Amino acid sequence: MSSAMQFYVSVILIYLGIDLIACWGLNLQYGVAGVVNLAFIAFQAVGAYTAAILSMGPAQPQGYQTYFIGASLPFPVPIICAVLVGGVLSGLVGLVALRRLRSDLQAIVLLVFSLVATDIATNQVGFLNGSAGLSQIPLPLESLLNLTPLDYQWFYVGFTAVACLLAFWVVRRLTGSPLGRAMRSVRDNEYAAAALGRNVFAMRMRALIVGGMIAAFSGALLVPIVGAWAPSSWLYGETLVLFAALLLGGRGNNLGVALGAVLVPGLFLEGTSFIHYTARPGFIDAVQWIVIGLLMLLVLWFRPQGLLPERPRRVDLAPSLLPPSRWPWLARNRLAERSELAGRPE
Amino acid sequence: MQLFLESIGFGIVTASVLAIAGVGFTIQVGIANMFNLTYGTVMIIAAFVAYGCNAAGVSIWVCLPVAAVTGGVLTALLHRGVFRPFLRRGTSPFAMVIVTVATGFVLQYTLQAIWGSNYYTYRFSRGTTHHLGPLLLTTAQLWIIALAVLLLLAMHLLLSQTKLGKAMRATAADPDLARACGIQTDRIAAVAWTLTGALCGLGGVALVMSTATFDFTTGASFMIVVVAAAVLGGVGRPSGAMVGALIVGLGSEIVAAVLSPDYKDVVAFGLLIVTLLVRPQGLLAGRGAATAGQVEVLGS
Amino acid sequence: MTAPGSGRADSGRAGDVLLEVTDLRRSYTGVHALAGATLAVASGSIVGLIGPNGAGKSTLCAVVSGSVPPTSGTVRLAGEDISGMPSYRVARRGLRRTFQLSSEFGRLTVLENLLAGAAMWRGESVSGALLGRRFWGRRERDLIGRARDLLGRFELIEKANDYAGKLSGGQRRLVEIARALMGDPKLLILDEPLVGVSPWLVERIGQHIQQLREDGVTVILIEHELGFVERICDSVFVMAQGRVIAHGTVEEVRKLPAVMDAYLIG
Repeated sequence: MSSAMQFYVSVILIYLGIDLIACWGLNLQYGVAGVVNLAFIAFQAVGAYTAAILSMGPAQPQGYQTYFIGASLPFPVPIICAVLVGGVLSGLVGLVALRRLRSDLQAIVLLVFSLVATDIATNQVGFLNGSAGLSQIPLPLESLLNLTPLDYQWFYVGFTAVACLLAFWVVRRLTGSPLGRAMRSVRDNEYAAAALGRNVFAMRMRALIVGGMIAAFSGALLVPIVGAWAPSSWLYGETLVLFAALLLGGRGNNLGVALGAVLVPGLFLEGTSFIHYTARPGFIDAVQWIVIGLLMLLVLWFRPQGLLPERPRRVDLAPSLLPPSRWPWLARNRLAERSELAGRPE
Repeated sequence: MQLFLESIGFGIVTASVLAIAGVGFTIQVGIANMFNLTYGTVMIIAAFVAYGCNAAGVSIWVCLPVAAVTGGVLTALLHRGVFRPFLRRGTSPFAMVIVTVATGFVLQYTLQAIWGSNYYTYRFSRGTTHHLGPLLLTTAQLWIIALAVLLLLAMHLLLSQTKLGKAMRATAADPDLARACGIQTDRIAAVAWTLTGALCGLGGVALVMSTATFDFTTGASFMIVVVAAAVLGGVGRPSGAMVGALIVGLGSEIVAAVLSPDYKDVVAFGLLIVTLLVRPQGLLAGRGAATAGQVEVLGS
Repeated sequence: MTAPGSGRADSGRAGDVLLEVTDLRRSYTGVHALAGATLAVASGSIVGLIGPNGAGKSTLCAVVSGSVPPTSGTVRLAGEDISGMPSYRVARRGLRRTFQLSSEFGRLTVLENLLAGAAMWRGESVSGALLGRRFWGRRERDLIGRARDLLGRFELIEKANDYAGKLSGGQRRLVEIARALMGDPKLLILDEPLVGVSPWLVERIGQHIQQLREDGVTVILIEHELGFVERICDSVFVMAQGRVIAHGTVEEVRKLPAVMDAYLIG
């Protein structure tokens, strides 16, 4: 494979990994907890901006970009700070947006947050360099590793893969736990959940904050490899691309959502982005959005549960209660559960 | 001070545009209990068709009915072909938001794919500037205000005096009860959507006339401002939309003049969020009315 | 495995007043849904709440359980003032209710519905969840055992792994009741549990309710089926126009002129 091709493939893999992490975060908020976070991309941006200004050093007075704070903190501090800031801001937004509102108004409120964030970032130039955004963002561990650019790319692919595993572990643990079940109960019927003692607001806040931290994490990973970050990188439509991925893949199901991330931002958007159509600039982009829109309509009409629907945990309470397993190699776990309950040694 | 007075003038014009658009939007919320976020895009499509007429040499004022028809027909088609099937299925309110946003994308980007992302301007005479007390308004702006007043009056009379209007209000308030009283709610809803679609189209032309240029994204940007006006006054209430339009229109123009033009939209956004936090049923709802975000009774 | 409801001292001796409602009022723009309702329910009893449509039974249930705040008046549960508390706090103090409209968690299995009905515990915190099965596995197995017992009692074991939303109307009601029992309630309010239930299942539900007394659960039953109420309940409260107008056995209240008027007018 030629060097240019390798570069391209490595970037695709990194973007895919980051999209996976973002989708898992949004799935926790929307698929599991039912929080319709149309401001998701803004939280990714928060992570990106935080990681950037904490690794770029203070803004140079004679420099061409102005931003507030600024430090040159070593890896992994910028990423950790990004995650924390993402969590805090999610909490603040949640205090406002998670009041008792019907789901469409709640979605609109969150969308408005995204728009307000874009407005502030664009117009307050001293804050994050306005519409020009930040650039020349350093790559983590670059000087320490001292690799060739191509080798560094592959290092970053591995790094992103590890980050993916970490994110997957977190969402898997949360979703499969009693907390995940409590969130899903709040999603399905918040009045019944409250009547059973669940604090609905607190449940949704947990989902929003943890999901926001995951979003910020994905942003902190994305920003060095892109090298630049401006309001145009995180317009509100990007959240809808992620929603399309969730709806197509299977909201509520972490593997389904991963499939959606591969198909929509991955295969579809990246795959078509290198079609060179010389008729008019922006034509391919417009067509992409048309397809995303149609995709969402078709999925919502024909298969709203997605390609891989949510699969709740099934427990064998009595012999032969469970349908025959489609995946026999998974049956071993089930046997363990059954024997625990029945009291038989395995 | 001069700036302040000028901004009041602009504010009234913006409020007029918002009122035309807002009344249509809020009636849709009342009738179908959904937030039609395709509304802004339909506005711009109607404005674009009017542009086509205008570019062909027709006066923009004559293009208004063209825009109204475009808006009405397109909205009726969207309702019949997209919204109603999803609503009939019992799609959740949030999913309906996704449906309307996705539909908006398809429409907006189809236009963009065909015609590209240019800016378009209407050709019409602004007329002379008039002094109305402390305010400074051009002839065209006065005509926009007059159009708004005319349309709002017509809507008010329609809703309060005519049989159709009363049927619309009954359908919005309680569809089952209305049906039990013999009202053909499906037909009434179809008429309501077409009428509000016409308002949508007219609002689109008025918007472009007041802001000079537009491209295909202008509608989507304006959408949330319309939502803000409707929510502020109380969704489902046309009179509320008028009040909301006045507050949002004046508020954003005054802030734009006094502080910074960049934050015009933020005023609308802020008012929307504050309303939903403090008084989600809107300004005009009666005391002790239904809680958080429930759709209110349609009645002006 | 202890039966649900046994061995709890806080519900008091049978006969003590468990729920005390005093002059409860709730108005909506001009409509007085509750116009000064007063009643007291003794611990260990099964009490009916009847009355014509619009009498305020469901509103009383909503206000007592905390879904809706009262305009004025007090509610005391086991001596504690719970007026105006949000529903999740009231639930944590031992009150459970079912809803008129089916409120099962549709996209959870029947078993998960029951597990979600247990009182909040440490497995439901973020840190607890991240610590994994080692942290919450033991209690989870206990809960599954309790759920299995309840499902067995309500004859729903075969449906344990089905989506709750796919069950028949009567079965969904049973799931709701079983789910409410998972939390070991002192007081259980059943809001019209017989709506849409087939006749043979009605009998079974009656037996299940009566068995609850043995488990130490006090029951308030809101129902229209007077025959059912007569068989199951020790006594009834009759409501009309937002007030409690009578109390006694069904036979006693049936003869009162006020009650007869209420049913004719209401």
